[in-house]
Amino acid sequence: MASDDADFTDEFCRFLQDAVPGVDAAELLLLLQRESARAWSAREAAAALAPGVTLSEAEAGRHLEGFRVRGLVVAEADGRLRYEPAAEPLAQHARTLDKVYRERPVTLIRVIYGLRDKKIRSFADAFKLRRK
Amino acid sequence: MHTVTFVLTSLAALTSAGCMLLLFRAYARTGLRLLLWSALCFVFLTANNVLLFFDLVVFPGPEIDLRVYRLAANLAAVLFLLYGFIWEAE
Repeated sequence: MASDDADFTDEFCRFLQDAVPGVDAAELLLLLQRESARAWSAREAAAALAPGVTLSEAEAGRHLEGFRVRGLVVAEADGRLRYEPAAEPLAQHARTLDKVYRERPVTLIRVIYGLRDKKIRSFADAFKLRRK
Repeated sequence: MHTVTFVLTSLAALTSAGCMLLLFRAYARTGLRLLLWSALCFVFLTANNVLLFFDLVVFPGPEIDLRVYRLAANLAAVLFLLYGFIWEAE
């Protein structure tokens, strides 16, 4: 999609596609990243998001579980989750996300939703016998 | 009648096998798991149609009935497709 862009590399787009299903998930991940010293429950994280972001506790919990499965956060003994990427590439992608969120939010939103649509479009494209 | 059954069941098996191959090809190209689950769905739909061919063309008599196996293959196909669309298409 934006693979010729220095920020939106193929690897970063794959990260977005895999770990960041929507803009609210991106906001949540950035919140956890900014305050990486503390651990969050779904309710706390949903309440701490920017005023313009409305995310239910259940949705926040779903996103947090997705982050945990993908190695972006770790669970504390009390079940709260703390930002701690399992590998440096993940941390690098999260830093890139922070950067593009601040500098190029419109492009980021377009890419996130463009990648989401891509899954469904790829299903239809699979039945094209010849590639363009 | 036998010829019509032969043509229809053959076409059904070939079409579903073609869809399966196209979906596997797209999965190999993109790595999107939605396509993998869809391809696996078509593996079982192809199995269902091959079994249908055997049931109606090769063994048309009542002594061999593959209906249970066909239904099982159909069920597996639908489950794969449902899983893919629920968990991967969000």
